Amino acid sequence: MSGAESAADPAGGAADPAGAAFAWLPATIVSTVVRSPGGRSLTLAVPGLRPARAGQHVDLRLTADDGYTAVRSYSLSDVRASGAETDAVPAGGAGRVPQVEVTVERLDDGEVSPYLVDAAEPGDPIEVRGPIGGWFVWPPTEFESDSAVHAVLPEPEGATPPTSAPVQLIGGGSGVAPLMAMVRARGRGAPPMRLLASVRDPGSRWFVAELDEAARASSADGVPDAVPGAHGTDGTDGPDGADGGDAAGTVGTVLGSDGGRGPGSLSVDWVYSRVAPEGPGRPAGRLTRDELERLVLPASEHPLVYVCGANSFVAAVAGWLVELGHAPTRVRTERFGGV
Amino acid sequence: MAGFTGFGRRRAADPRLPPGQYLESGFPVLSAGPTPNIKRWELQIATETGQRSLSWADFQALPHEAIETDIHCVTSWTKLGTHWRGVSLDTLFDGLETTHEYAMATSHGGYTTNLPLRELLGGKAWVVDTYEGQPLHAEHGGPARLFVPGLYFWKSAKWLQGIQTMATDRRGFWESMGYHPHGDPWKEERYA
Repeated sequence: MSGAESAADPAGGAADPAGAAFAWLPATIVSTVVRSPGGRSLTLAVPGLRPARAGQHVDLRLTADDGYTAVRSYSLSDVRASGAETDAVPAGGAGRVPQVEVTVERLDDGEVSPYLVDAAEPGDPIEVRGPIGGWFVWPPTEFESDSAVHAVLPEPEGATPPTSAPVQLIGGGSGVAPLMAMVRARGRGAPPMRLLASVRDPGSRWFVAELDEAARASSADGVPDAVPGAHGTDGTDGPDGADGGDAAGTVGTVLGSDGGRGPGSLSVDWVYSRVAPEGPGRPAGRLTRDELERLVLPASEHPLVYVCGANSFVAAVAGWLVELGHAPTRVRTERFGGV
Repeated sequence: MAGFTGFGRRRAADPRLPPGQYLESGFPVLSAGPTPNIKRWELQIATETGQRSLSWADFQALPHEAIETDIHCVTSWTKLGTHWRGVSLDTLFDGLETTHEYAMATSHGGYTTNLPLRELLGGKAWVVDTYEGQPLHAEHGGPARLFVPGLYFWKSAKWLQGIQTMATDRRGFWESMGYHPHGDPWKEERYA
C-alpha cells in the first residue's frame, strides 16, 4: 500500500501510478492440497507479485476458452513465500517466483469454488490481483500519528500497542484460512497467539496436523505451559479426532485464566457446531457467549482480536466480545455472505 | 489441464454491471469491526462557515425521497434495482456555504471515508434510513447510513455520524487500507 499515509491524489483514477500495482498478474497453479472433503489449498506462483501480509486477500480471475470470465476474492492462507527475496520457497516451487496459498471451500451453487476445489490442476493458468487489505492483517499496520485511522480509532487506555499485543484469532468454518496465514507468519519473538476455530464436524477442520505441531513446538521451545499436554491440539489428528473435542470448555478455562504465556506461544481450541468427536468433551452445538469468554484471551489483556467467518458468526462473536469488555477498536473482522 | 469452463451456474452478462462485477441477489455485509452500539443518534453536517446538528426527530421531519438504483461493492458484487428512502444531501447542506471541494464522512465507531463534495451534492447522495420498505438493519448501517450509489459501496458510510467538508483531500479509514481514494465502479477504481 504505497502512499497509504500520504495525502491522496484526488480522484487519481487511471492516472494513479499506484493503480499499476493492482493490474491482473498471470499466475500458475503450482500444487494443491486437500484440506477436508469440502476444502482445498492451492499454491499459486505469481511473477511480479508484491510481498503479501498475513490476513490479506487476492482477487482471482478465471477465463474460459470462449472468453467468459469470473472473479472472486479469496483470503491468503500462506504468505511466507510471497516475497521474491524469500528463502522460504517450498521445495518443488518455481525458484524465486513469489508464491501464495489460498484455501477455498466448495460452495455447491458457486461457479468458481467447485472448479478450484475439484477440477483445477497444477499447471493451470489463473490471474491474480492484489494482495489487498491493510486492516485485517497481522502484524498490524503502524499508522502515522496524524493519519485518519489513528485519529478516529484511539487505543484503549493501558493497552500495549497493537504490534506487541497478544493475539486472539477466532475463525468460523473456512474463516480459519487468513488466520492460518497469521499463525504461519509468526516468528519466535511474536506475541502469544491463541486460535479458536469453530467448524461443523471434526472432518471439516483444516490444517489440524500443522496446528498441532506448531502448538507443540511452541511449548517445547520452553514457553511455560499452564497445563502441559492439555492443548486443544494435542493428540491424534484424524476425522475421529478423539482429542479435539475435550479441549474446548475445559482446557480453555485454565489457559484463559493463566495469561502468562510467553513470546512465540500458540494454543488452539476447536469447537464443533454439528458433530463433535466421540468422547466426554464438549457436545456439538453453536458457540455461546459463555464459552467464548472461557476460550479467548480476556479483555484485561487487551488482545488484538481477529474474527473471520460467515457474517452471522462474525456478527455474534464480535458483539459478544464487546459485551465482554473488549475495545471495539481491537476487534477486527472479515466477513463473507449476507444476513 | 482442466481449464475453467464456467461450469456450475454461469452468470449472464448485463449492461448494468460495471466492469469486473457479478450479479448478487443477497446483500453481503462488509464491516471492519463490531456493529456499534449507538446510544444517542445525532447527525452533524459541517463546513468552514457553519454547522448543523440534527436529532433523530429533526432528521425524520425533513423531506424523504424514494431512490431506486443499483449498488456496487468493491468486493465485486452488484445488486440491481434496490429501493431506499432518505434525505438528499442537498437538503442537509442547504444554507451551509462552502468553498471546499472534499468531505470526510464519519461513522459511529470511528470509521471514516473521504469523498469529493461534487459526488455528494446535485442529487447524487442521500442519508438513508429505509431499505426495501423496512427500517435499515443495523448490520447494513442503520439507523441511517450515507448513500452514494455512484461510487463503490464502502463510500456509503454505515452508521453515519457526521460529514465535514475539507479544503484538501485526505484519506479515510478504508482508503488508508489500500482502497481507492475515489472509487468509481465504472472506472474500476478499486484499490490504490
